[in-house]
This record gives sequence, C-alpha cells and structure tokens, in this order.
Amino acid sequence: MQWSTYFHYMAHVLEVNNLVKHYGRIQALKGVSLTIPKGTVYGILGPNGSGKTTMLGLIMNILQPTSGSIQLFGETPTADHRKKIGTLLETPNFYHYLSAVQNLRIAAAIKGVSNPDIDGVLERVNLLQRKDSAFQTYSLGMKQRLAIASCLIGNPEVMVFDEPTNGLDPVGIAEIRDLIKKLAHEGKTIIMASHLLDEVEKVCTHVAILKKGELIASGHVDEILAHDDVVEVGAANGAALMQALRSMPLNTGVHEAEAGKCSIHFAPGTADLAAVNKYCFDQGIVLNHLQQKKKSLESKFIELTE
Amino acid sequence: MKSLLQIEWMKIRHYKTFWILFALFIISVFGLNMIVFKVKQAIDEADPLLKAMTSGPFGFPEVWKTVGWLTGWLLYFPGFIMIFLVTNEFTYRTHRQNIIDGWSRKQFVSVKLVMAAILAAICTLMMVLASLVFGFASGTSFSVSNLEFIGYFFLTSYTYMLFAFMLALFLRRAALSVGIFFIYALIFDNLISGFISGQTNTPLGSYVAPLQVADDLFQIPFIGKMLPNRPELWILLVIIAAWIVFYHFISLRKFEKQDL
Repeated sequence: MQWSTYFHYMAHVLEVNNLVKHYGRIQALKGVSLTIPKGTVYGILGPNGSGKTTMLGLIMNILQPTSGSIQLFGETPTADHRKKIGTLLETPNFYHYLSAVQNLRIAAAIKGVSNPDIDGVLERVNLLQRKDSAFQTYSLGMKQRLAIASCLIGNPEVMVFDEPTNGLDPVGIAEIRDLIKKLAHEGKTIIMASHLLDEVEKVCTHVAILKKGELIASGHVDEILAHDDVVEVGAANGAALMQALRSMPLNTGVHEAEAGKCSIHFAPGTADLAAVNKYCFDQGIVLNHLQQKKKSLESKFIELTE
Repeated sequence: MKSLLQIEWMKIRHYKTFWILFALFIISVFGLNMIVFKVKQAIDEADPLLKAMTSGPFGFPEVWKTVGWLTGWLLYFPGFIMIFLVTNEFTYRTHRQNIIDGWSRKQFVSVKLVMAAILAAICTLMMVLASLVFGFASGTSFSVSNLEFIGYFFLTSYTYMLFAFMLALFLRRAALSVGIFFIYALIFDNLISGFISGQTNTPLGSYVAPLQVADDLFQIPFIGKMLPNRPELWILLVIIAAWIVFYHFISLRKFEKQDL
C-alpha cells in the first residue's frame, strides 16, 4: 500500500457516496455524498424526517440501501468495523428485564471487549448508583444515559450519537454535551445527528445539513452556520426602500418585514448602521426606523431548511 | 459460535418467563406420561384379558414410541419459548442493537437456529428420561430395540422449534406468533393433513403438512398399526430434512435482506 493511500484511509472515518434509500414510494435519501474526516465532531443537522436516522441506519447495516456506497475506515463495511464504533441509534435498545450492568456486559461481549470497564462508563454518565436496577425501571433520561454509556464501552475511536440529548432534562443535556466535548478533546471522531441547531453549534466542528433526504450544505460549522448581521429599516414608502436596498453594495439579502419595513443582511461583523442610513438618504429615502437585529437560531434553521 | 452462545445465555439467564415455561414443560412431560401410565394400569387391572392382548405400551421397547408420541403433544411449550426468544429481540429492538454493536446479520440468525437445536435436544433428553422412568416402572427390562425413536423425536422437536422460529421471525409480535403457532399446530395442520389423506385415500396428507410429517414419525400407540394410509418412513425422513433445510435457508435470507 502506498503511503498516500494509507494516509487517505486513515484520514477518513466515513465516506458516503450517492446514497439512496426508498421506503416503497417514499424517498428517504436522494443521493447523499459525505466525507467525515478523522478527529472531527460532525453534526448531521436536519428537521424531523429529513433522513438523518435513515443515513445512520444504512451506515450501521440495519437498513439496506437502494443504491450508493459506504466506506468505513476506507473499507467496505463489515461487522468488525461496527465493533470499533460506539453507536446510539434512534432509541436506547436494551433487554428490559436485565440491569444496566447485565445489558452492558452483553454489548461488550458482542463488541469483543474482553475486560470492559462497566463501572467506569456508568460513572461517566452518572448512572453508577442505579447500575443494578432493571432497565424497565429507568426513566427516559436514564435510558438515554445508559445508551451513551454503552457507546463508551471499549473506548472506541469513533462514536455515533443520534439525538444524544433526547429525553434529558436541562442539567442532563448540559452534562451530555460536556461529555461529548471531552470525548472530542480526547481526539475521538464523533458523528452526531440532531435537529437542534443550537446543539450542533455548541458541540460540533463540522456540520452537514439534510433536508427532505438531500444534502443542502456541508463544511465547517463557522462557515455553514455563520450568522449574518441583520439590519431592520423602515420608511414611508416601503416599496421604494426595498428597491433601493437591493442595490446597496455588500448586502447578502433583502427581505420584506412587516408593513413599511424590511431587513437587509450583511456578512457577519460587517453591518454598519451609519452606512445604511447614508446610503438610503443619498437615494432620496428618509428612514423612520433603523435597528440592528439579532437573528434567532430558529429563524436561521428555518431559512436553511425551507 | 461458542461466544455467540455465551451471549445468548446472558440474555436468557435472568429471563423469568423462560425458566417458568421451561419448568412447566419438564413437569408436564412427566405429568402427562404419568397420567396415561396410571390410566393404563387401572384398565389392565380391571380387564386382565385386554392386558394380554395389548403389547404393554410402557414396557421396553414399546415405551420409546409411547412416551415419544405423548411428549410430542407438549412441544408447544418449548415452541413458545422459541417464539419469545425471537420476538423479545424485536420488541426491545435489540435485534438492531446486536447488529449495530457488531454482530453480522448471519450470526444473529445462526445462533438462534442453534438455540432451536439446543431446545430440541433438551426436549429429546426429557423424552429419554421419561421413557427410562416409565419403562422401568412398568417392570420390563431395558432392551436396545426401538432406540431410533430417540432420533425421530429429536427431528420432530427440531421441526417444531424451527416452525416456531419462522413464525416469530416473520410476524415479529409475540402474541400473534404464539396464537398462530398454537392454533395451527393443534388444529389446522391436522385438518389439512387429514383432509388431503381422506380425499385421496393415500398418505399424501402426512407428507404435505409441515408439522404432520414430523408428528407421523410416531404412530398413535395402542391402535397405530390399525390405521389406514400409513406413510412410508423413508419418505417422511426425506421430507423432514427438506423442511429443515428450507427453514434455515428462508430465515437467513429473510434476515439478511430486510430492513431491521
């Protein structure tokens, strides 16, 4: 094997090529291609039903692709590759009548981890004091924690978390996000699906945005989720104002707001209220409203996925 | 395979339903044979003439056939166990998790098929123990003839376990699988078989119904020799083998191809 090929293999944990999945007539994934480099915290962001879980299910071989290909660690995926990945997919799946410890022993045995540090992983998710309780007595949040503990068994280099903070209370959410950050700090590659923009923004280094089974953007979080500066302006003649703003240099978009008002977008950190005011005045428009707005994450997300 | 079986053992070791059904099955094997054994004794005492005519179904070597036939009626219990071992995985969605954690789909199915064989072997062991107990209890001495019925009983049990496994794998739900397994095995299989044999006046019905073919390795004791349309043993064995191969093939294929 050539060094360059070897390096390529090591550099990519996951490569997905033109992946298509149909459920009968429903197209859940419409040809998604994605590369996840080693050492990243890769968020897969999308609203419910956008195909996040379907994509992870295909990668983990619990769904069969309609077409397209997947490579794990630069190779065609086998069961042995999955042993090296800690995965929480969709829901925590455990034997209800067994305790946390008994369930984790089974997961460890399947992964081929000979001396699993069961107490250690339960400690990391704050579940040690309930380790001998049956899974069926757990709350939703505890089930989720156990599923994350199960991902940590054998200290894998790659972890896949599908909606990791699902069902957790605010404290639990903060703890799990901290844990994911710590894992990232330890150099793990983490693939995380989420419908929460704010979560992806706080935790991830990279993001891919899925919408109705299509990949609409991917790359560094800073690039993809950059917040435009938004300035809201108003004038007596709304239509003239809108037309004037459209021709203003450096704007990244003009949208109509409420009656007589509109918003103009600029690249992050470049909005200048005085310049907007002067420009409008030079065009013969006197502003009666001028305000810089903070854009909510929700509106950003809706904009990205609409 | 050894490590796969160790993991299956971890799943059932603390599973109460499994052990309760298992205990009931063992008690029933000895219980049912005991009831018939006692009734037979009572009839014999009331009518010594009849005793002289019949060959003593609980004495060696006839006891293998008698106990095998009676115990065959109890194979529903291990069948239910087999169903629960599979439908539990679907209910808890652990069939997905096992794959996610690093089993191949083939390993998941293979270890369950081996579990079916182990359950069948345990059923056979119970049949052997019961045969020995009642054989000696009827005052006869051990003889080596008819020991092939131990093998036949294993085939019958294995056919039942695989049939239960198939139902569970395709239906995925416990209550539905148990209901259909019980009603089909008790009524419909016999109905189909009897209808075809009756209409054609041949043993054809024994050959085409999937469970009857295994049941018919054991003829009804006391009157078995008088029944019309007795199926040929070698045809039964060939058809059972074909069914077993079919069950293996179709279950592996189903689980390897489908979305889980």
